[in-house]
Amino acid sequence: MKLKFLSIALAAITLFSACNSSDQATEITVSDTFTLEGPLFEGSNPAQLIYPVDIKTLLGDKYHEGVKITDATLASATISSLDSNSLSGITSMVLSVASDNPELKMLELGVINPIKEGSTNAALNPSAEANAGKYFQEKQYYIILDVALAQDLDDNLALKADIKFNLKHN
Amino acid sequence: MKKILFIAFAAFFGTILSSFVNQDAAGDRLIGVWEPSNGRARVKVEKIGAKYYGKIVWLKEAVDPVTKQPKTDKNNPDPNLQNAPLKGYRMLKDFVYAGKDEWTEGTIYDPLNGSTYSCTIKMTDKNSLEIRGYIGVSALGRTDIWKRLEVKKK
Amino acid sequence: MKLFNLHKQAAIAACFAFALTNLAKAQSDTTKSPETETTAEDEDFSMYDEVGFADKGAKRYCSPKIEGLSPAKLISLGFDFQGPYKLNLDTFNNNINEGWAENNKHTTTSGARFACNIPVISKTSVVWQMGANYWESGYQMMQQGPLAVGYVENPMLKSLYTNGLRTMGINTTLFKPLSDKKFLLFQGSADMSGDYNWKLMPARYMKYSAALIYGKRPSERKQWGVGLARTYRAGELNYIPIIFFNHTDAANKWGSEVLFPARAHVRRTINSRNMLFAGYELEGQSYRLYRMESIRNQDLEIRRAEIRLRAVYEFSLKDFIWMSVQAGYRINYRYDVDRLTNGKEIYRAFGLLSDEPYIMQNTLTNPFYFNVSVNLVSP
Repeated sequence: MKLKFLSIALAAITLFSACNSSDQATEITVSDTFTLEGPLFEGSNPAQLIYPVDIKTLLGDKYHEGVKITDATLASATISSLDSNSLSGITSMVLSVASDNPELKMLELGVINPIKEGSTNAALNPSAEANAGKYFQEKQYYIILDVALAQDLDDNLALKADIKFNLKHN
Repeated sequence: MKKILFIAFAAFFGTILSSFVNQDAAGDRLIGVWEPSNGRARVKVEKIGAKYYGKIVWLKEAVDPVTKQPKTDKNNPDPNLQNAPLKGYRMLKDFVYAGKDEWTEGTIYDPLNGSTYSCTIKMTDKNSLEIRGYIGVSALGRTDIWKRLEVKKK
Repeated sequence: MKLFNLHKQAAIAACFAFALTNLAKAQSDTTKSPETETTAEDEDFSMYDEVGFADKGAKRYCSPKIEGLSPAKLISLGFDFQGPYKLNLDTFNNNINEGWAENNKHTTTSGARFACNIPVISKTSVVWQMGANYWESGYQMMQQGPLAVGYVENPMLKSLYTNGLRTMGINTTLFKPLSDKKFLLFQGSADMSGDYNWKLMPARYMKYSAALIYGKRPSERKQWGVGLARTYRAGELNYIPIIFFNHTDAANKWGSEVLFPARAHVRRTINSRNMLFAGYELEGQSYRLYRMESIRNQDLEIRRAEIRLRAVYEFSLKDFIWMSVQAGYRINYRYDVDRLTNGKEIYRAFGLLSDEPYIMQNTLTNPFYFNVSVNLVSP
């Protein structure tokens, strides 16, 4: 009886360990456009989009019933202008995520400051610590881009964003 | 009897729906521009989704005396985020209206030392807020009175 | 009846319509279609240069802190160690029959230190804190054998080695800003110091100290003040002027934290979570010799004061848990004994008002010391 119990316990521990050690990593890219409608003013101008989380599409072949994303760190975020070739007039950008869930706090994911004059795209410096894993367990969340302008701008501003996340999931 | 029940249900349902509307309107009273008691910054509160956030829109000392550049979040514990400009930085985050003139579940960030504190906001009158930042328990904290500002039209 | 029923149904429908319309309106403010968009109101940050209070009676108040200051300790638990040094005691009570002079007693002194300062009211218009502290000073004799404690004749020395000294007290601090640049600072304390045990001593042996400062805070990096204190820091009762000065340089690298003559330090800020200090602190109290029944009624008090020259390193272990490590040189300022006549405090005013001699004049050599503490610091 004792031996039987020990065997079952051992098998359970082995199985549990095996399950835990099978965390997988997947890189996903969120590509979208932030449009800031003019007139825009000197200083910080925020733009946001609602990102619906579709785990099946995100993980593709790696999707399975009961899959859970535990970690999501920003691998890279590149912002480029759609309207003209350069990002002139933009001094800095901050990328953040936010959620309506009271338990999820806003996270700054990346920053670039300053942006070199004449740059055609800007690669944000990803946060060393921010982990947006729990955001990917929500049905949707907000992605916010704060764009700081050096001067007032009468026109609209359209910015293309390619945001890469490193996901860890079971 | 059936009709009475139906009317009662309709009235109840209408009240519930209306209360959500009223709750939103009550929470939105936080939106506006506010000044902490020391007058060193001005913070604009706005809504993202269902939560309230406050960003710095004015600083008494906007330029770093050493670098001569606009101040950045140089005390952020995350070294990769230390270049974020302070003007436009959201120092109040994630507040949810809890009813009875209180907003809770939020945090307040102190750019002077890079520390984030749990925080509650209580509106004592339409132009005054008690902003209480604390560590762990509310007793270990400090309350600051913020006053609403009116932007003078140019 | 039919018409009435129709009216009722119409009213119900209207309620539904109203509620649903409001709900839709509320939802449209918060739920956005999956498209990118700006916030509802673009803003010109320069408009925030010209503002006024919505409430015309609103005031600004100065903060009790300045930029770059070391964090205030809410709760502190530490350990203090001095030594080894030599203790040289006079004949007890100026009476050779009551105990021999004791010389060259190799001694170390060590003990735990606890302090807390909890905000009672913490608002911009007033800050009021209450605190408590407990410091233990155990005396350890380093010699053994014929020079060990059992052979000590001097009652004071015997008490020091057997019972040690301790001080415990409560204190209150009140910071009242008068405007955005001026403030008042008051601190008061009641301390019980002696060789008592858990049974304590009667409350009439408590010592009371207080300080009042009028100060100015002309900028975010400087605050200063002048005031008056009733204090036992020099070992006996004194009334002295005090100077308060805190400042931080523009680069937030160097600063000073001064409350003269109690303490003064230069501060070097490595970053907001690591700070170095160099300076001194004057520590002292009047300790009643109470424990031994044979001498209890003689109203004897040790006037103990020491100057600690030190370097201090304070750093954040995690978030608001900080550690402080001090090392330095303890200079004995006074370790004499008074007998209080009819229990009355002797106020010498540094010899200006009274030159009544001490009944024991003792000397201690000066050792190195260290102090380590873990602290919960204030936001």
